[in-house]
Amino acid sequence: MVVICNNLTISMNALVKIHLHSFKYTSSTINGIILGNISKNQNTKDDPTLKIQDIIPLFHTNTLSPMFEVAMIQIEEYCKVKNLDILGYYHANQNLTNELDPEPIAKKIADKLYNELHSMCFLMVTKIDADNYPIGLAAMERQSVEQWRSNKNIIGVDITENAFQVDDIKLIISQSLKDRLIFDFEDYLNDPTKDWLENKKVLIK
Amino acid sequence: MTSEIEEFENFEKKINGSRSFNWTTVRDTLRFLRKSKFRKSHLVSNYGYTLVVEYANKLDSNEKWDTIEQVLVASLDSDEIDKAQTLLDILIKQFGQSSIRASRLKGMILESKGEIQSAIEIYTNILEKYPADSMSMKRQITIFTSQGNYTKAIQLLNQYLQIFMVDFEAWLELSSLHLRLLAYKNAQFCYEEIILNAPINYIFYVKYAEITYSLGGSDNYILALKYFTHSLELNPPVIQNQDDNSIQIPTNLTSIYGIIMSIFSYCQQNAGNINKLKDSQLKLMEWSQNQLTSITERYNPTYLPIVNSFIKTTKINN
Repeated sequence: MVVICNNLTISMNALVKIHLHSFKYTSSTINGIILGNISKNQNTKDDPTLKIQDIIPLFHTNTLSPMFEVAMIQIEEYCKVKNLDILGYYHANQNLTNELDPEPIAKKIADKLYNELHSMCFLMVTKIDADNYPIGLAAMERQSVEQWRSNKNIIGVDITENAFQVDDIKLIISQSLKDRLIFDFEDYLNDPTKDWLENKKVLIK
Repeated sequence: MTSEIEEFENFEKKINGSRSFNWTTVRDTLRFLRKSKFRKSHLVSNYGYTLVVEYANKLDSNEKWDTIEQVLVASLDSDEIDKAQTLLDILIKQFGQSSIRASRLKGMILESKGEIQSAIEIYTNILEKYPADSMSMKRQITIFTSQGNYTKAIQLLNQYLQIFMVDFEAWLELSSLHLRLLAYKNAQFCYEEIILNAPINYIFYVKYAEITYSLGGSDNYILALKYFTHSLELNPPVIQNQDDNSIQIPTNLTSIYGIIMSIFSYCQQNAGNINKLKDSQLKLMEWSQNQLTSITERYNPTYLPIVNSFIKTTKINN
């Protein structure tokens, strides 16, 4: 059985990367793959917790099958090396007016992952405003085939790795934005020197 | 020869590097951005606003108004509506309420505020007076796009294209709307028009190939293969610079990967049977694999294990 996870935590690095990606391409649809670990609770009846450790940014124009397949093959290999699991997918619509209604391609990809993974999450990037401060992400719940709805779950931010507070996120984003250091798979296709898998340069120390 | 991107990066460095506000650098950067049509809204609204507000009298009169318009649009892009409103007031003071260009900007400000109905009214009024005002037509289409009403946007854009058939940017927009609805067949048609308009730009062949591949099926994989290959003829992986013999970084990895994927998927479709492939296609596969390895070795050696395992996964011979 597939579990759409209700228990989610995200590391600061992953959170910052998602938002940097969306800020870099403000006028476009952006998307990417979510990586991390699944921790099973002692009590087997509880849902497992998805611990989001990292994300890999993919596209900022159109997402078309051939390059998506190439990216997925490489990400699977990368996960093996890094001992991580593919946990799901994030997406930001081009328009702000319908930011919680995923574009068709997002639903299609989310469904595909839903059919292949044991537990997964699908996050939509939203405005960082009062409703959604300071995460700017909404977890989606699957209703039926290619139907997803925001489930208003709170996503926990895991700040154990570094000294930053969650409230610092806006500051971190605006500082890193200056250099536009995040690169997605599409950037890599146009310039093979770009580090799309790890994006080491944007990691917070 | 420096590319436009490099030229822009130089400007960006100069602006970020100078401690105090250097109005000539900012002016030149904005001038360059107007010409090259790069969309660098944060930069333009940040520095440009100071330029047009504090250094307005240093700009010569023709350039001044163009610059104000440019900064206004950029500030809308960066969600700084107040700045845009201030700039609009300056423009209206100069050109009056009846100016078409100024009222179009007013419409755009209303759009950002979410007052869509008033914005539509402004554009409709302009079009009643000047039915061929393509900019206002485009604004109307954008409104529907931004509302998520893609079907209506497509319908209007089709009407627009019946009049302005050679506007290939409009064809690009139409194809991206179709792609958003996953209507690959229609998007493919748009790219046929675009390629007719711009037959030597490699990127459109790449896109055409990607869309064709997305349609799926043996025939489409082979067609995609041809277009990927042609785009590599126009933009090959190794370009020697004539001036200093240096080699440019390859920018068309999509097509190299595309060739591998097309042949791989074609074989998968035909139960792994490679006998149907021509010798030339097998050679193409080998060439692409070699290119991929040598590009990765040269530009990003840490990725070599990942790329090698990709090549292994997509192998067809056994």
